[in-house]
Amino acid sequence: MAATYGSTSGRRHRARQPLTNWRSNPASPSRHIDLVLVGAVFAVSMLGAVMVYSTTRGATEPYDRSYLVRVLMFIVLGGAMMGALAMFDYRKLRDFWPFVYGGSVLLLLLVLIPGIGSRTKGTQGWFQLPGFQLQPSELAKLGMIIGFAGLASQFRGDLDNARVVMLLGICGAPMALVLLQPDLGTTLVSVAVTFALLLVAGVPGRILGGLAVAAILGTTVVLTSGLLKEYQVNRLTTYVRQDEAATTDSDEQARFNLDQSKAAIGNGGLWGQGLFEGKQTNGRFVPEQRTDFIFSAVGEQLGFVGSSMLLLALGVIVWRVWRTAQLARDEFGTLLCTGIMVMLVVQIFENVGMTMGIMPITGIPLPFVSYGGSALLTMFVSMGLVLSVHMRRFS
Amino acid sequence: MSSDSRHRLGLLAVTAISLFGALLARLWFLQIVEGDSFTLQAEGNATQEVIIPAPRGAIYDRNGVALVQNRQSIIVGIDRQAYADLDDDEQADLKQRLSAALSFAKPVPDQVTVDDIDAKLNDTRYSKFRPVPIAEDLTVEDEIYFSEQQDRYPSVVVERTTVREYPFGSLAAHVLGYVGALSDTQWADLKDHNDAAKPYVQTDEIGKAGVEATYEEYLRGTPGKRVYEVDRAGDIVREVVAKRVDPKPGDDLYLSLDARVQYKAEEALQAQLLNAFQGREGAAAGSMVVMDHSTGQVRAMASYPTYDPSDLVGGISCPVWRDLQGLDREGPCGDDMTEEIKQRKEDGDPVTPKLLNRALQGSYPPASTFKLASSYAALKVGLITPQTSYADGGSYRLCDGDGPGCLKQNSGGTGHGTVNLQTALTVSSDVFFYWIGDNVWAQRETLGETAMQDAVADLGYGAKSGIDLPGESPGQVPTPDSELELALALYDADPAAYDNDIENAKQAGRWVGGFSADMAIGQKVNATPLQTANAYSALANGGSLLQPSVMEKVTAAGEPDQVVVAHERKVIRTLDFFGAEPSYIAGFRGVVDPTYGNGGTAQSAFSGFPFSSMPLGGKTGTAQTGEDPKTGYERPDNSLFVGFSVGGPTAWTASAMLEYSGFGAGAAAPAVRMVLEPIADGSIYQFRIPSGGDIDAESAAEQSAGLGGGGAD
Repeated sequence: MAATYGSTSGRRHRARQPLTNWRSNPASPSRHIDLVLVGAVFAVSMLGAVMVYSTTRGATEPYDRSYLVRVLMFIVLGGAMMGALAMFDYRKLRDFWPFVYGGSVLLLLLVLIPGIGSRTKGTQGWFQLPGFQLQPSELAKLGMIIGFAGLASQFRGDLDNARVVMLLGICGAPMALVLLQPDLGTTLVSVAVTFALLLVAGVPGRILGGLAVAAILGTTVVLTSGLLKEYQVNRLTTYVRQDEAATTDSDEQARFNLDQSKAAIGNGGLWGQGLFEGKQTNGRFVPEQRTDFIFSAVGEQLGFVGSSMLLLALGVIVWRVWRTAQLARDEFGTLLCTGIMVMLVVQIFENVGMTMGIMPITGIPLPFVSYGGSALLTMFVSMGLVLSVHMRRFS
Repeated sequence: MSSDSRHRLGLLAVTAISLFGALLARLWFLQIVEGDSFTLQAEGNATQEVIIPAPRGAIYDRNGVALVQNRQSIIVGIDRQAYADLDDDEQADLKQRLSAALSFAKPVPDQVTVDDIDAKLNDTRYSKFRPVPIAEDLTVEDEIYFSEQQDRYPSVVVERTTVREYPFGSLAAHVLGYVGALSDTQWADLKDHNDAAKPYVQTDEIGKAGVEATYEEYLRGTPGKRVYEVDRAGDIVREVVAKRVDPKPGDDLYLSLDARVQYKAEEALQAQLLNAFQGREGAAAGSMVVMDHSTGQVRAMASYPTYDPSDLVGGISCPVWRDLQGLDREGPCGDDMTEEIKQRKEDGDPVTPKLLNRALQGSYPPASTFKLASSYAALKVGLITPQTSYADGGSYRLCDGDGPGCLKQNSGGTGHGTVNLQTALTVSSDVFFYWIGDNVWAQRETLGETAMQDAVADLGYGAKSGIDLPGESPGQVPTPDSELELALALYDADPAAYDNDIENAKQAGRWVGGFSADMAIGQKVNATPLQTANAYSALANGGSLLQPSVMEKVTAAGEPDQVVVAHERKVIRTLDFFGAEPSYIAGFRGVVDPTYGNGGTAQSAFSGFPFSSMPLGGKTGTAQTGEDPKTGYERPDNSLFVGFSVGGPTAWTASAMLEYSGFGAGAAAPAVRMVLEPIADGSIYQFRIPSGGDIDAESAAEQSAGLGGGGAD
């Protein structure tokens, strides 16, 4: 209902004051662009582009610029999508969220079919498109948030057990599909996002407590049941055994990733080795450095000063999203921003944490920094939605 | 938005802030608190140090004639570890292909068969840290071929190495020595206290024998290094030019040897051995030392059988190693070989190792050349004066009875009439010296039991001379105590040999006058040819026992005038000959020169020698060698001679020892003459060593056959 109200009032507004410059209208969405968020997003993503370049250019001339060019293309494309979504009234999503949500679940189903989806490093998680790999689990995180926000806002805060189960179902379906790929990292992020959404949607504490217990039990079962491949369990658990000897080859491999990543970050010291001067980075000692382990390149080259600046900039993004969640004029906007914010926080903490050995190693990209088109575009789209919520908080 | 929602959002904010705080804390810990340890790890990770070996210094004779140089060699080898990673089929395949390819390679003279490759791979004498050399001295074309065809030849390595080159082949091999890979024990010693200036790596070579070993610290170059940044695969990313250290060649060594004299000495030794062994079987062996007795510097040092050090370059294969031990090339190496050598010794058929430098590692009874020392002892204890005369009736009675232990006879059995110190030396009267030995022992109450032993030690017998070459033997001068100890040790080893009665052993080990008498004629003692040369040098130079040396100087690489160390004359002790020098000099001159006396034992061997250019003294020695356990017959005597120049502008001493070659005058004296005569007449200064240092022993033997004059001791 709020959606109808909002949109009609907008139309009436314009109809009543046709001669007034839209700029002078204090409630006009255009007057409420969150420039801090936009600035932080572009600053972080440009730094990300430079970091990806540093890990892919090679140590000697001629330098390889192909990755840099691709990242810049994605930033331009993402920026355009963010702008477009900011112009778009997010409230329209309340009407057709089932299509967005359904579409993302459909993609998750399709990707599991061999021949349609393709397999990389043991995960059935990509569509091979011409010149581009689409990772539907990235999109599905956003799809799930939109689905949850859409459904929950229809319940208008009146949550009985049946409705909580429905909300859980909305989140559970894509999570289960992602787990089948299996893409553990994305599943873990989704669990945290679901939890935060339930919290903010007003689910009573006792239900949340019960769910937390169930989640812990579920994790234990998943880890011990043999559902996961050995290497996946090793990647997850190696961080708690950093000082012990490796026991298996895959454990060794996981340990190697972690040791090299820690060595790179430690090598940075206070001021860093300088851009393009990182020994670990130039020698390509850190596996997956341009994607999941990009933070180790930041740590080595830019040091504590540069790395904490990056974390600070990411913190600014999180803060602006959180602020938007508070400022949103409807529950849909609040939940949308809450989901996006938690998605950001969990991905940042998990990704940066794993490169420093305080979180298990999972394949989660660092938002706006890691190389990877699907993740980058998802992030820009999310920011577009947040901007849209922010701009329309008075209208 | 409800206030409940606000609270719940606030909860999320707190959570987010604490998570960011945790990340910052961890970042601080890794980068600031523990940063240093990670810096080191990253440093070690990403850089690879490559040690560039430095060329060794060259070795020259005193006139600057190169005896050891360096040259580049292209070597094809097999990396043992990479080879072990191949499966059986791949290994067989590789050997086939490598054998075929090497047979087409130009400078490899013979076909390299698969069996040859197998033999080398199984040869434990090659260091396990270096590729096993399969073929050496390949052309640049072959080098390129093998480098480019890595896929076809897995585990095959082509490398360029600097190897030692010996322009004169085996000339002075025993003095020069050779270099070889560090042994496990050497490496274990070195790595703990590795000289920081010239550190070793496990694959390094080190001087193993001769001056290559003693002057290792100078000859070894200072290794350089290159530091490379490498990637995870170990491939070079770029060089860290700032950390580059260029290798510095080692110092050059100038020996005191004169290559021409050295050649003459080796030629003389081989020629006389050839003559002595003409028409009979047996392993010819011997040695000669030629020194400057004013400085103690060695001018030539020859040992036979000899070897060509270039056979040892790049690792010693089993057949070569067996050959150096004096065994047939075919056969096992390692423990089995040690057993074989032991067995042959027990069978009375001992091997004649080529690596042995007999001039200082061979210890033999010096026979009559020892009479300088025993008469010196008699003079020192006051038993005789230069004038003391004694009637040599041809035999000396030690005790009552007819046994050979009681009645000692002159060599030849005839008397020399009345002799004194001078004439006894010239004619080599054994009786005079039996009398000396017996009486020094008889007066042990006043002189002490070891009066003779103590006195001969003054001349350097029984102790290492301290020459700058490894493995020197101290010789042996037995005492009553050592004799008893020996007998008891023999009893412990085999009591049955003494009828299981320790008293029999004690009886056998009890020193008697006969022992002292035997010692006085040089039979119960052992000395190296170098010790003999050094003792006579002390007499010749007026009483200074010098520490012998083969070194002239050490100079900076390629800079003969930039001297690092120069030889210094070192006096071990100054001797008093108790006024007997004239008698000694005259007595020894009489041995070779009829002007100074009749019946000199080597006069015929030196007839026609230009004494006017080089006044000469000398002493023959003929040592009994006991019976051959294989045949039961007496073995031929060892032939010894020592000669020295008297006065004159140059100061020469030459000592030769030829095993189983008969009388001293018959083989050793002619050998010494063949060296000293070209020096005396100056022809040595026109002499040019044949290219490659090849010695034509046969024609030298023919030419010198007439010299072996006289059947005198």
